[in-house]
Amino acid sequence: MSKEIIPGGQSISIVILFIIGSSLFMGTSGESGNSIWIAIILAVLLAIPLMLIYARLHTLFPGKNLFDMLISVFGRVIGRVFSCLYIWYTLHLGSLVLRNFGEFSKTVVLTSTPMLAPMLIIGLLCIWVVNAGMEVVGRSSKFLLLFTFAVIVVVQLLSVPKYDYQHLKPLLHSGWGPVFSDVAGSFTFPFAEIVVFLGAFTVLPRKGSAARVLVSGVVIAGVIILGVSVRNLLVLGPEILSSLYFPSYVAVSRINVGDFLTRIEGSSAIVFITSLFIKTSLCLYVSCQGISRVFNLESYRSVVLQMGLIMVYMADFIYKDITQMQYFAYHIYKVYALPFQLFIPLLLWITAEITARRAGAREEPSP
Amino acid sequence: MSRTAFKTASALLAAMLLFGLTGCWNYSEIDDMSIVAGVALDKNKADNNIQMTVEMVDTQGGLQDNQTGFKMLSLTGDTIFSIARSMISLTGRKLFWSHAKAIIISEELAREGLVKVVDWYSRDTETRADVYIFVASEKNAREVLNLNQTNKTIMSFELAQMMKDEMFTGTAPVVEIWDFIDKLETPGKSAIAPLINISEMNGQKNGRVNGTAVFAEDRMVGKLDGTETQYALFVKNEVKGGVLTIDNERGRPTYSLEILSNRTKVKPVWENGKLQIQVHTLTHTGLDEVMSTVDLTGNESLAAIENRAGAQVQRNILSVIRKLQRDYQTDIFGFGKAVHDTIPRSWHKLEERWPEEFKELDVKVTSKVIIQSTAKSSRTIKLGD
Repeated sequence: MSKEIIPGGQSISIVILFIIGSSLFMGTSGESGNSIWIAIILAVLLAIPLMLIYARLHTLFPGKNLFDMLISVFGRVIGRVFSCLYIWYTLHLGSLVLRNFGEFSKTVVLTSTPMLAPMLIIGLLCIWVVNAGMEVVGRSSKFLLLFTFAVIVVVQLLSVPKYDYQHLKPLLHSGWGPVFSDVAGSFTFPFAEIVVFLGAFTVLPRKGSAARVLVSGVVIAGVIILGVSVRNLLVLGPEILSSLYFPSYVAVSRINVGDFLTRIEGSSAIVFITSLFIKTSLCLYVSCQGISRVFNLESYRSVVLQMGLIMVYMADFIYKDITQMQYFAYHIYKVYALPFQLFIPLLLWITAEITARRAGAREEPSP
Repeated sequence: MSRTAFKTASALLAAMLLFGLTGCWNYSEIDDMSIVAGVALDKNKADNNIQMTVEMVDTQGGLQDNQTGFKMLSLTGDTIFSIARSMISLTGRKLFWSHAKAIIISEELAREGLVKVVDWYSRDTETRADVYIFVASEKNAREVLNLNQTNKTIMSFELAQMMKDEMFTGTAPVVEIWDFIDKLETPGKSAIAPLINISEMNGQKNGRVNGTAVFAEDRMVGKLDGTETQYALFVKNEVKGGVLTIDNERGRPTYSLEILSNRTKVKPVWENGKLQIQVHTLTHTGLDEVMSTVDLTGNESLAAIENRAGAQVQRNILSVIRKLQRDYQTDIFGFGKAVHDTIPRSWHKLEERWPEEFKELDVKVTSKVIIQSTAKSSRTIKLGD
């Protein structure tokens, strides 16, 4: 098993695509109506310290991924229990994302195709790319990011004529309460989901590159999500926005440049798939890494196919319908995800700092 | 496995793939679909449910026909979607909605409430929400579509074309269905839709879009005629063009001003403990017609015409606002939205009883018309004996 290292630029691409993944078409939670942009900015600001904590873990445990850290800090048994939790989280997250895409294609694009078909195709692609290794994921995400970025910018510019700036007024119409609720919502989905990337920390070049990768990735992704959300708000208005499952798709369908450039929503849906592909791949990779660490496998590759198929199948039965998905994503997820994104990493960090301090203290007086 | 065996196996697998790559999962050919151009919705009195008439593009037209044919179908049912599906039993083909351009609703149905009509259209994924919406002031909406029999054109496409050029007359609002729903949902702003009627002149029947159907919530409550609509659009800042007819000194319509651009500002203010809406309009126009030989000096100078035009716009805007306040109590101008946007604190107090509040609202209008050009001629036509 050769050691895979991917350059910083590619890691940033992975982080960006991972974060914008499903938010691009699902939108972020929107209880605060036209103050959503405040919520997103606050969520990014909140996410940055968390990223620094994650990055600190990378400096404390160079060359180790999340599961190594958990096992080495909490011991063989408890560490493995935590690892199993993370395996579940990443597997489940991958399924959720796949299901988002499945619902998207079932509801708006391919209405009479069974949902399993598009999910299976993307799932097989993810299995392939994860089997090929993180280097392949890194390289493809760098290319896909450029493409995604180009499409988003073009669509953004084309929708400018449809902007209605009145939708931004009045500022903080419904007060701070919903805004804070939205901060929690968009902090957990999507920004802090990047905790999954901890499981792929082995691919980062050593010396302290994690801080740069994570912080710049989160900030760039935050800017993209902010831009897309504000566009949706300006084009659709808070009232319509709150009624839609896939606001971006509808917002893009309003674009009409001289009766010539119309109906481009189908083409713009490509970027949903590119970002979602990276997100699912990373989830799959990390859950396989977890299994290989917990069970001391030689290589994670031996379980990729199985995990990938489980992920696709789970995506198929995880929700009954789209309303359930909506409810879970915006109401339950922000509570469910907090232990994985915040509490366990914090616990890990504090314990690691204490043990490192102790080890340092023990070493110092000896010479 | 030997190298050749491997190669053969790969080639075979690749060949098998071809069967999977022939096309999409559920593709349908164009001759398996009926392309919908427009819909008319009427109330079916016999069963007290909805009658839907669909105008379809006839794809069966022969090569010798220069024009695309059309086909009409009517069916009744309880919900729109059930009718849309039952249509298959008439056409034998599934209707294809993506190219529909117009949806015409009879006045009777509109007066009962439009939510039940427009929801399917904006919810379903087969339809697109950028279709134009009309209210027919004729007895039946289908009569408008039926004009295609005499005009030999696809009526819905004609109507869509009319709406595209509507900005040059400005006597009817241009409303797409998503826009309509947006207005229904926005607090402090009522929805409107263009009125369509059949004008008969010298035995020629034509569809004419002129005037506005005014809604309170989703029920139609009244109408504005073409001129009133023009001035209502002034308040809504939706004037893109059109003509202002201005009287001369003796009160005879003499001058035509073409509207080049218009900007309207609506400002709610608290004045002596009472909410006042201030409407400012600034219109740039070009003098395009002078129906007299009197020189453009003195009381007929450009400045004097500008003043008269300004006063006329101001007067007419006020009268249309009064009409809506007095007769319909529905805020199509979005005054409530303006209050909501600029002084949200007051809106919280007013929101509950906005229709009554709107009725008593104090509105002040100031209009200014600027004549920028006099087209190609610098003076009036002089009669030399």
